[in-house]
Amino acid sequence: MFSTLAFCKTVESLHLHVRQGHYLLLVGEKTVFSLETLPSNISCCGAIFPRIIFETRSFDEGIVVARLEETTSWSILEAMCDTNGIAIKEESRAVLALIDGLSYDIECFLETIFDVLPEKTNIVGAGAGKLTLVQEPVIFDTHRFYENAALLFQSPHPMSLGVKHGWEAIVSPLMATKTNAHCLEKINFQDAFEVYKNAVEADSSKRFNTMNFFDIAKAYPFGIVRYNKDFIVRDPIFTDGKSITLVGSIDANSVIALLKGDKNKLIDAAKEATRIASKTACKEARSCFVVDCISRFLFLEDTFCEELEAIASCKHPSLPLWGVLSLGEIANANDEGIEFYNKTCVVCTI
Amino acid sequence: MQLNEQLLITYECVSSVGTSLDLKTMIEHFLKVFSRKTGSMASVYWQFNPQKKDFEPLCFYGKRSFSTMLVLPTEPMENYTIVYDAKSDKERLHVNVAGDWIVFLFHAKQNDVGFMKAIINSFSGKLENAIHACKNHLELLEMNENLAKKVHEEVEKNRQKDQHILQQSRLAQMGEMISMIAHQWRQPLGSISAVVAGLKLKLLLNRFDLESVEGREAHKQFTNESLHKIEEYVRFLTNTIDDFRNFFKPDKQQERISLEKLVNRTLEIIGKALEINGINVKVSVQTSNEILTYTNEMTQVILNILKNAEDVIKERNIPHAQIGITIFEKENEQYLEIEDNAGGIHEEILPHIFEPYFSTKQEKNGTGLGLYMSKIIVEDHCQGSIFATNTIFGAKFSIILKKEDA
Repeated sequence: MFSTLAFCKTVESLHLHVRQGHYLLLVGEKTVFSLETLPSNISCCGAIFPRIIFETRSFDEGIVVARLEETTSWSILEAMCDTNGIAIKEESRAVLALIDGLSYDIECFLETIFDVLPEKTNIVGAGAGKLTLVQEPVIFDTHRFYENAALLFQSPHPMSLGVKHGWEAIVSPLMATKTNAHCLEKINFQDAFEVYKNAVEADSSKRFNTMNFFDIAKAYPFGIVRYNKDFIVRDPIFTDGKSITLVGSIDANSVIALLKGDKNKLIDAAKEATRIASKTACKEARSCFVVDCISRFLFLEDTFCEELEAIASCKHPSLPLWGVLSLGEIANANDEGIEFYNKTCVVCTI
Repeated sequence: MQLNEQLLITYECVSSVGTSLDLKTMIEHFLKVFSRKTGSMASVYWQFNPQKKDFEPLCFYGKRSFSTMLVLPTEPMENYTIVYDAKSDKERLHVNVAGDWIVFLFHAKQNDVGFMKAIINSFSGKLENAIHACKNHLELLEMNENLAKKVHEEVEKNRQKDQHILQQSRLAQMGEMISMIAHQWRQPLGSISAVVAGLKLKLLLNRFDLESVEGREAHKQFTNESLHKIEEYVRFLTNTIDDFRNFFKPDKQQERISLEKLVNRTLEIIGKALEINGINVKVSVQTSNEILTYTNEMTQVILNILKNAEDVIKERNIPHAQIGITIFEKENEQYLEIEDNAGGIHEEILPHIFEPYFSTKQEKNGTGLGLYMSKIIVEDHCQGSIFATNTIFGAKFSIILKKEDA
């Protein structure tokens, strides 16, 4: 899908790494970036993420530059709710989707794309945005920035995928008895925050009345239960004292679990995801692309570099490692529906 | 743990059943939840169409590219049959529910698909009931829609019928009116004729000495008097025409008028005819307060009742024929009672006299619409009431209208 990769610290140094052609730019949220300063001889598109990954390091400032292969095509969906604008070619075997991670149209977008995805095509994707968690225009092309938009890259070469998170249930089962899109209102018919607070405080010495909600919640996400499969993790990011806002939607009456993370187990999960992706890598693969959740970075703190090193140690040595720390991860690990994950590590050879 | 998971998934799937009374919405939601929870790659709901005697896909969930694999059983198949498709290395689960088929596509071990089968089997009764409820609801909606359409059609038919009846009634009354005009005009025309004859005779017999000043003066005076009389009679004839013309003008809006004035206006039309037939009309007025009503339509009602009284008096040759009209007020209502002394209405026909096309005057070409229209005017247009009773002298028609401030 992408032929060459490079990292540059500033947009001014971008011209050193590009020549005429089409490029994907992954931009760290603290980068001073404007479309006017882009080299005029290239056509590009991209997105802003909380952090970007290049080799075994992550950066909140800088740009990863990926040159599109001749066979790779790209398109921009200016409004994610405009599902009629989604077109996947029959010969496409791999799709990369960079979407507005704070959009309320994600589920509808994913369902539509799943509907039109050819039988043997895989998809990987990442939610773009900034750590302020305020929705703003973060998707761009050479001409302008777009809010609530999505970028789609398609390649006829297959990709291989591994999806793992490493979070484990400490309280299960719970019922999400009342929900509203991204908002979990009731658990077991009680205010969601009350149930969550009691369970988390019983497991730790941390207290919600003395600490910031997200500082505690980043270690205690929810998991949506599936039959014979891993949980789909949902990241709690905000509370109004009664309900809890999650990154990603949750259906009413979903069976959920309260999860807890162990740093080593998370890193092991990232390793496992890389192993799965590497096992089935095809010969056309040019790189190892990682979509790792920014909240894993916030949870792992200094040990996050160990996660990247673990991934690097398991991938094929010839494939350069790059990627993003995202607001939500997208993948269809097999033929099932496309899922929007949180706090998950998605590795693909692409 | 697996059993526990099965129970939890079953709970979620059961909760997704019956969330809407619209079959498509309900099934779409169910297929989405079931597929996402159990890992089914695609699913389709085949609904039986009794008209075409065939199945049609109602909704689909999953990758569109799998839709060709979600086929109906080609031969009679037992419910919950799992079919392995070697070509695609996938399993199909066929579920028959409420006469329709749901087909799920799995890429899983047969053992796992067996668990899915057990899960859906465990709440198939609820699913079947929910589907029936949706179908019944749809049927009910269609019936209601048809019913509303039918009611609308019937109301429209009735409206047209009423209009037709009104038209017939007006035509019939016009015939009666012409006869009344003839009555009204007979006397003034006779008078005009008499004045003209007197004038002619005096001129013929040279009754005026046109040679003398006195004679010329007398001739001038006589001619002036005669012309004045003719003028008066012609004015009377013109007024009569105006009265009748106004009567036929439909009222656009209500007017403030006393019942006394309404009765007097009616008597200007029919009074002469009643007088010629020797019917004495006695009007007793106890209130002159005004009410808000459609004057021409109410005149038509009073005229109908008086004309009926006239007809029956003539038919029964009633000596000392009399019609009494009483206007009075009670609480918030004004009453207008018209009573004749013609012996009353037969008790067996009394309940039917306000029905359309009911008439006892076949020999006189009665339309049977006069009293029906009177009832429509009083009750529907003027929000009042009208009824008939028998007294010891004859029939009494009572009209009750609400006072303006009531």
